[in-house]
Amino acid sequence: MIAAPPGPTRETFWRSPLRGPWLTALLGSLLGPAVLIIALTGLLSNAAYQPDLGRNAIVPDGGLLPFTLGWPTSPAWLYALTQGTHVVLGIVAVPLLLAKLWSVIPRLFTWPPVRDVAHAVERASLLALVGGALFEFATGILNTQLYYPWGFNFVVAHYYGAWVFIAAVVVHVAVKLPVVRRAYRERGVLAPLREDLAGTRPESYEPGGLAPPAPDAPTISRRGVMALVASASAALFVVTAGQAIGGPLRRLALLAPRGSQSFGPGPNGFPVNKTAAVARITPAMIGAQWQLRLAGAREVSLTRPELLALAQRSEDLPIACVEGWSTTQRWTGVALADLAALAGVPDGALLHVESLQPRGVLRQATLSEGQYRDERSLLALRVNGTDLSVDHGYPARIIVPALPGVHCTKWVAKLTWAPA
Amino acid sequence: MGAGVNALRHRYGASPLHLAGHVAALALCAYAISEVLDPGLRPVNFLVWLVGGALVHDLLLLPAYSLADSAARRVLARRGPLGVAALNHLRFPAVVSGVLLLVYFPLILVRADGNFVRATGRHVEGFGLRWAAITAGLFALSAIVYAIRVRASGAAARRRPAP
Repeated sequence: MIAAPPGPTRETFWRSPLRGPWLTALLGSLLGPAVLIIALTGLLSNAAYQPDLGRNAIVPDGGLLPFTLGWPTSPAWLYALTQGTHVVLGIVAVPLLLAKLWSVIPRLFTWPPVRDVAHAVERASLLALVGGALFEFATGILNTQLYYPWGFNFVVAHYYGAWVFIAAVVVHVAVKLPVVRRAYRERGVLAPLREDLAGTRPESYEPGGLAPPAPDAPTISRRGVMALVASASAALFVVTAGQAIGGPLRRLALLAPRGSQSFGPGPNGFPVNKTAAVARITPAMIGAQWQLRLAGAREVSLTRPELLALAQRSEDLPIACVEGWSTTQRWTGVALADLAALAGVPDGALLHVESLQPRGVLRQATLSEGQYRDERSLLALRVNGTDLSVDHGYPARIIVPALPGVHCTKWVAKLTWAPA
Repeated sequence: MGAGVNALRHRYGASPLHLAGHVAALALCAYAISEVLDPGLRPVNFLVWLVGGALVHDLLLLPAYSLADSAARRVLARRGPLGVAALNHLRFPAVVSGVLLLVYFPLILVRADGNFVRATGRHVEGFGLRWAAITAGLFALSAIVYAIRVRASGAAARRRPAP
């Protein structure tokens, strides 16, 4: 065997006395459940878009899961919860991910680079793991800031990138579980966190292990490192979570894209996603001659004054975006169930909603029977006691409890009830 | 049967379960990647991003912050316990501020104002200022706590009887 060249492939290159199986086990024990929740809420988000209905699917053929859940309308804050968790936890877990990667970096430079076939196979899966993890975190976090420095379709890539990450994590956990158990057995689970700086000892060196053979003297204890990670995560939580949780926390969301500064004055002052300008809505389209077209057993057209003359309902409902923010407002309009009765709806029909927006895959959405029959689901004409602003979907928008915001179609042109 | 498993273990380097699990996982990865490549959505770009994150982190970001930490350590750690405390009082605000910048750099450095305006109707404004204010606040807080600790340890040293 050729000796390792000078540099990081030699074990003596790595000097931190804190590296070792125990620290990595602890970081992994925290990152694992976080990643599990992030993955599950991510898959729930995919389900919330109901890719099996109509043309809802953005990932062709709905992706890797052949079954569909159906998505409920209760509780109204369901999607706000799952997607808020997905984004906030994803952001808050970044320091944990960075610390974990720091703790195992000597492994990138193991010597010899390939011992046997099993080693090569494991290293390939680790490339998928680290690459997949950073890809998912990076694309997700950049998407929430509307920054797209890449050339691929975000939704498709983020969805399949998640499967690369999930596959690699599952096999990684399976392989490392005995290592984690052994580290906890030898050193205790939380015992090393009781050591102060003076009592910080390096983990015992084993050739090929993570603990260094010639460590420097420690300058920070292990609990100091965990406090550092926790501080960074807490800071990210404080500057982010308010955009999803709302209330007084929203004022602290200083760096979140839809945080403290994204609310303007007045009843229409809550955040907008997709302005009328980018959707190419012209004043002519939404002027006095606009009519809502209903198509079911009958075809019915209604002007805005005619819609306002129908029985109006008001509901406090959140609008929850896939980018991880939500806000609750008071919407007033005609119940979708009432419009369904006007048009005459065959049993088991789905509702296809079309916008005045001329182009774009999200100019339409398909809703399930449960969604349009829910008494809280509205064709909203007014919000917070005043007409919808143009950016918020004037003359009319859909609002359905627990439905992802983008499927609450704005500038509604036509509602069609048809069997699946 | 046992002899076959042993021969596999000898040739492969690990148990049959290790092989089976990894083959399954890597097959799923390959299938998922192929689904992104298939519709022709800039395949090279996708692969570059999939692998590039690992390279940028492992070969650029991690060495950069490790070197910065080493340099600080070399300067401060030789000055005894107060130097080590100073090092940690620098590390905490630097790490928190650095991670905030890493996560929110597109808003802080105003990388996508066009997209932001089209989507929200508002410009990217004030994020850099708020991050700078948070950073200044963190360093100030850390300096205050450090000063308190220095004073407290100085007072404690004066209270100890001379040897």
